[in-house]
Amino acid sequence: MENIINALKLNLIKDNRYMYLVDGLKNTMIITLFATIIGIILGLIIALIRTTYDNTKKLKVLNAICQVYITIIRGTPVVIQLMILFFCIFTSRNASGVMIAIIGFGINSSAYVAEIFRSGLMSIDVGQMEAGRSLGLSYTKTLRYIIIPQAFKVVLPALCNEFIVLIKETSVAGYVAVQDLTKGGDIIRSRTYDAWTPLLIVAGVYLLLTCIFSSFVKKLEVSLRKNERQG
Amino acid sequence: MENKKLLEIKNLCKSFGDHDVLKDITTDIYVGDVLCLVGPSGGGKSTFLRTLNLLEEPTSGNILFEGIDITAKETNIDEVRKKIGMVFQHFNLFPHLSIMENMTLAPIQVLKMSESDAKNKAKELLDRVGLIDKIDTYPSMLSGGQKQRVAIVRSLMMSPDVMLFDEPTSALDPEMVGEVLDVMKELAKTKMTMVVVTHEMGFAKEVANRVAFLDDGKFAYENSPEHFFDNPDNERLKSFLSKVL
Repeated sequence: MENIINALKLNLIKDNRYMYLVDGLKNTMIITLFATIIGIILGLIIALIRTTYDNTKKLKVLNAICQVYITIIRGTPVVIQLMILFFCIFTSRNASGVMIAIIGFGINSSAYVAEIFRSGLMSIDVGQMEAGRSLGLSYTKTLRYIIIPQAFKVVLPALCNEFIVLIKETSVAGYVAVQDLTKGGDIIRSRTYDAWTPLLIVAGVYLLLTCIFSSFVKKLEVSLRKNERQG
Repeated sequence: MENKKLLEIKNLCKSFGDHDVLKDITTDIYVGDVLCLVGPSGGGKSTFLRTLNLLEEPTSGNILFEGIDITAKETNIDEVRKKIGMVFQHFNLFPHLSIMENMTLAPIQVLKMSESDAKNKAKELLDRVGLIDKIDTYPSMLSGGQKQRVAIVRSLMMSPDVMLFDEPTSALDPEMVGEVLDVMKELAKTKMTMVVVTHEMGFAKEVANRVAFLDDGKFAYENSPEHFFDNPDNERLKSFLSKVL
């Protein structure tokens, strides 16, 4: 018991080392949050282009670009993508690592989110589109008011899963000089030569983050479903 | 019957791949017509109906709605569809929207009706089909017959000039068919132009002024209901009627 308290004191309290974790957690959350936003927006756009092509054979060129994009992004490791952004593309000194991580993880996640959204859009009965169009709603308005809200409900569990993956994936942000949660733990370990304590704490914090996120999404799912059952 | 042409169908053909579904159909639909389309499955009834609002693009031929060629490239089909109501076999209500929202979405978005006007109209129409108490519920809580009645008044919200019905009672339990047909009969009484694909021969007999037999992609026979059902001079129709009546 005393050993544990001493270990915690050494790794967290001494020299305010817990601040490495707090700062790291802040960066991890910032990266995840903004990458998520980029991923959803880009992913939805790509999914809409791909489904529109599948349904109407329009947007042929854009569809081809999207397919290549998805193939490349999904087919290469995210760490490599980050390093390309950091060392090759944004080489200027004032580009911050956090910014690059946001862009990198956002782009990476968008490829997966696009396929998730696409599967959701495809799952909606074609009668819904026909009903919308036959009422005089345009293709875009039918998507916006009828198809997308229903598709969103379908893909919510898969989206949730994608973002749990994303939270954890950001732990490689240290490769591009971002001091995220994992890197914070690393720094502490290099000061205290204690491997167990900082790693377990860091693991615990990730677990806590994903649990909070999961329970939030579960609540959202229930409230969306209630809409349909009871009114 | 007024003699104003509402829909003019000229040499309409439709094929899926090398399967010809509609073969050179030419006919006119007049204001106030109640045209029932009957025939064997695969005969092209639904496809014909769905070309009328361009849910199916014809392979060749023209369709004029109120004088406008809706098959022409420059025609904005959304403008045309505002005036053509459609009711589907499987209702196609929007499950994520309440009955009220199902009804008001298109009038507000397409006709730019104010929300309060749309709501008032929705209440009035729902009252007419006896479903005013369902206004704040969701489609999943309604029976099939109730869903279809909502689907009909949802189309009526747009004040269409013609209503297309694609086997509106085929997906219903038998005891619910009557309530939907009653709504359609009421609608016919208001002089609404209607094109109805149906297997309900009783309805066709009672309500239609024209009945057409679609077989092998053609209007194989057409007549007033009296002649159509009592002494048609078409062998295939006779054999078809002997099976369904």
